[in-house]
Order: sequence, then C-alpha cells, then structure tokens
Amino acid sequence: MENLNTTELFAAKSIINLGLSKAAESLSFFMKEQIRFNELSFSINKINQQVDFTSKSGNNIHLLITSIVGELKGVCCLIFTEEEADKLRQAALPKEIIDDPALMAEMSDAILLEVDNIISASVITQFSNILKHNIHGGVPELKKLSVEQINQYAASNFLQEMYIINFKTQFESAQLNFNPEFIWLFDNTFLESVKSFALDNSNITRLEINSTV
Amino acid sequence: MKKVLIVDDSLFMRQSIKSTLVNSGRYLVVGEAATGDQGIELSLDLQPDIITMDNILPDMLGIDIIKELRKEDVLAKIIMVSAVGQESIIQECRNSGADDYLVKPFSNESLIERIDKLAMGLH
Repeated sequence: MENLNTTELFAAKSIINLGLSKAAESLSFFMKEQIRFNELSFSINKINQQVDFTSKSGNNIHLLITSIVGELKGVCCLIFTEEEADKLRQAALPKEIIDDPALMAEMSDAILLEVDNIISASVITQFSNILKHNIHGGVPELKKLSVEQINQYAASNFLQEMYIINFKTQFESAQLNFNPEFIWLFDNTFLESVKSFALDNSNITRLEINSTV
Repeated sequence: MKKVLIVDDSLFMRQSIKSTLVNSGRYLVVGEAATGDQGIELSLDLQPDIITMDNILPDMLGIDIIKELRKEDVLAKIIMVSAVGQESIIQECRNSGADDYLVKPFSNESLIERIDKLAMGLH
C-alpha cells in the first residue's frame, strides 16, 4: 500500500484490529450477546466524494460523530439504521425505562450517545496505550439524517480536513441482524505515528504475539 | 446513608448510576451535574461523601475538576467513572486526587463494590 512498507502496514492493521476488538467487546456488553466485527477495509487517500460514505439505506439514519482530541487528529462515526438503533435501545436499556414512555423518550438518544462514547473510547484507549499518544474522544454528537444527507455531510465536513487514513468495518451479530458501521478518519499524524512505532522491532514482536493469541 | 453526587454529561449514565446506588439502599444521591462547573458548585454546596466523576465533560476535564476540588479542600472520596481507559490518564487522575477509577462499560455489581469500598474508608 502507498506510503507504508509491509511491516508498517502490518503494524497499522494490527493496532486497528486490537482497537476494534475492544470496541466489539464493549458493544457486546450493551447488546448482551457476542458482537464481532467484519473484515477491515483500510485505505490511505482522501475520502472519495464519488463513493458513498455509508452503505446504509433509509431516511432516518443515526450518525454518531466523535472527534479525536489531542496528539492525533481524527474523527470516528458510528452509523445505525433506525431499526438497529431500536434493537440497541431494547437490549441496553432496563425494562423500567422501556416500559415508561416518558423515560424512554428521554433516554432513547442518551443511550446511543453513551454507547458511541464508550465504544469509540475503547478504540482510542488501545491507540493511545500502544502508540503512546495523549488522545481522547470529545463529547459525541448525534445526527438523524437520510443517506443522501449523510453523504453530503461527510463530503462537506470531512473532505475539507486533511484526513488521509480511513478504515471502516461493520459490526456483526449472529441473532439480531444488527450491523452498525464504524468509520474512522485520521490525518497524517496517525501514519507518522505508526511508522515510528514500526521502527522498533520489539513493538512488532509484541503485535505478532497479540495477533496470534 | 452516605451522600453521593454524580457528575456526568450522559443522561443515561447519570440515571444508571443513580438507580444502582438507590437500589442498594445504602446511598442517597444528593445531586447530579452535567457539566464541570455544576459539578464544582454542587460539590461545594452539598458536601457529598462520595463523588462519581466522568472524565470528559463539555466544559472541562474531570481531572481538572478534581484538582480544583482538592484545592478547595473538598474531602469527598472521588471515583472517576469514565470510558477513557488509558493507563497514563488513570495514573494522572490518581496522582491528582482521585481515590479510584472505573472504566466504562461496567456492571452494576462492580460499581457498587467499588463505591462500598470507598465508603468503608469514610469516617
């Protein structure tokens, strides 16, 4: 892949996979069943405006956006269809809230924001611990938009930034047909950090051991 | 009953922590704050025994609130309850006056266990 040699690419993918595994664990906690993530799509180039940002369809897509604050600059997006958001609410909220329409109305967005906060932090924690950077997630934001509006939003907001790394996965649940998308965008600082990390052979050995466990 | 103040910008998390503490029958939730400013104000006004503190709030970081509270001689036991799980940040919070640090997500049982432990250290 352009800009990364084989060792650096292995390091980047391994670090991202470790982060996403933690995110899947955190999401499993809320869904009360095992959630996995599908194969990672990873690329180095600016977002292509011709390619749709999300593969979801529908008019009420829930887009949760968290900025990465600190020594690495980026943003992550967790994307649910309306049905997936409902499944998450039903699984994660206690029965007394689900059964009380007023409380449910109050909590229905709050639970999505908190899940986003926690699963994005699971990834950020891994990146920070492994790459030794001081980073954290900002306060998450929720937008409910049509697919067309999301693609427009991504084009007008993310294309202006120097985001050149993007990786994307879809969570997967065996029973619930629950497949939220998880998209991360970083600027060149992430690439530089991975390159510098990969210079130390002991770092690569640790990743090799982790990826075989 | 020990008095607890919850500082978290997440409505879901405030509700969840409150319900766990109230259901235990051992804690009285005396206040809830969604911002750092409110958290400092309520900590000084309500003098809780225990404070649960998120680390990322819209107006400031939990670690800065702790520093501020310790400067004001607030003696409450403080447990950080945060999705931020970096080892370096956890250590920095402890060094700044946090008594414990619980990383989200967590079960109700582990929250109560950690709060009970802090309450045992109160006079």
